[in-house]
Amino acid sequence: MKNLIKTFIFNELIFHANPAAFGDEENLFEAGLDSMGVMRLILFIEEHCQVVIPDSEVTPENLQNLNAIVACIERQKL
Amino acid sequence: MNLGYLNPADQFVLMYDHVLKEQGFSGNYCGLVLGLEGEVDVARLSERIASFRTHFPQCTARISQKKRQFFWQSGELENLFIHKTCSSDRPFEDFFQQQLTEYFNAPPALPVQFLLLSAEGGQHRFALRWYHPLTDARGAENLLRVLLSEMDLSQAADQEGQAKDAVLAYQQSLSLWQSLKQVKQVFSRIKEARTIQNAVALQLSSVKLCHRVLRFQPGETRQIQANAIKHLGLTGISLYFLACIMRALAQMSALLSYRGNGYVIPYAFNLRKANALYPLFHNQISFLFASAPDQVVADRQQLFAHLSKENKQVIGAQKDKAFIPLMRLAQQLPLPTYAKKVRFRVREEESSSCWFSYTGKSALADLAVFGAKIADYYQVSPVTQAPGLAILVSQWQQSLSFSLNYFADLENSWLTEFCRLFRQELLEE
Repeated sequence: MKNLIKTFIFNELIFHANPAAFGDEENLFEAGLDSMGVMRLILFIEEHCQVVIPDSEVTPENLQNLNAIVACIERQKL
Repeated sequence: MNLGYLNPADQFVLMYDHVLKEQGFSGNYCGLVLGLEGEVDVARLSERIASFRTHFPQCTARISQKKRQFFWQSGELENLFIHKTCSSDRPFEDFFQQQLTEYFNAPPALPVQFLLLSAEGGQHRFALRWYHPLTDARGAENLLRVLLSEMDLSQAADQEGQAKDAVLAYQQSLSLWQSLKQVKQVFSRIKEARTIQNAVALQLSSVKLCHRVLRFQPGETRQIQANAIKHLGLTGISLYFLACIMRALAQMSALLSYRGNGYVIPYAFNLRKANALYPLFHNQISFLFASAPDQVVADRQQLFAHLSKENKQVIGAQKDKAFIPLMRLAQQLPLPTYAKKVRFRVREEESSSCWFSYTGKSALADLAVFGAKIADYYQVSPVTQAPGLAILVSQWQQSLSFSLNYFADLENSWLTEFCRLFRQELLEE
């Protein structure tokens, strides 16, 4: 799941010279993720990970890096 | 020599160029303006611009037409750089405003031009004027990123040659049936937006464009961003600005010949990936509308909820990119028919209350203009009659700027009051 999300982010939302080297704890907002990107990311997650992310969970803390995103998705599945 | 065909988004803004010229304006020319601190090495800047022009012949190209296809035809190697100096007996601010107004109202010349305005004592401002069919605001900023950096221009030209056009790539990813389905979707969205009778129509006689910049300090900017996140979440920064514009316009309606029932604000969004430097050229954009009837605009919380729901529905159903197949289809039309079909309502009235753009945080922060630090940044855009008003939002370092573009005969008192109300809405004062 993490790889799927990472591929989407770097194929569609953020340019990075070497996405493979982008760490799971690196900050996505500092890498360029903006509000439109967040919207697209949420819709992608909801479509491909079979979860609904409530508005209250769309926070900087939950989307700041790949590990935080995956943890947020896992929580919605509980 | 053919330097490339216009993509569907390029031709959409070329259609607006046609509309603007019909109304007596110079055309669809936009600008980026940089306020500078320190001395500019004018000789090095001039040299770099000359080299840039050689590597990017698009900067001096002209649009030609072959049957229904428009393309860039290479032109002469003309000078892209204008340097003007303020006389010592004149305030620099006056000189700057007058020159900039003239520059953006001047008869059309080259698709890209750079203007440096200087005064004694090291005061400088630097502006890029670009012809919108050539590129969009992010592309224009990327042109400056390349120009002002030390990167090798032949390598930059090679990378530009290999860059993927996002508009064409999206169009090519669709089958014929998918395209038609999306065109149907976008027509239903346009029809929906058109149920709102535009409440603002600044019918003015002048064809002279002016602009005023409303700036916010870093503390105020943080407050505005916090308000946006509080009401519309992390995804709703643009929607917050749109809501505040609608509310400020509604409060101004007493000063207008009000005859509508709501507000419609179209805005472009960029298909470029964040931080991507290439492509420099071609518009990589599609369009969205924000719309709300009067009774919703009257209630701030209801308006936020309405815009958020509308936006989620549009993006969730992928109606945002659906404008691309529509623009592709409209490429088959002559420009006057294109303008009539897309721009006007049934009764030949403009659908838009104003134009809006938000380009986010500028990527020029780490650069300088050949020795001079960049201290300020904003954008300039043309505007048609109607809507008569365009609001362009950008962020320079920690400060938001709202550039209001309007006609010269829009009353100063109207604009001052609008700015006061808009500021109040943004800051929740």
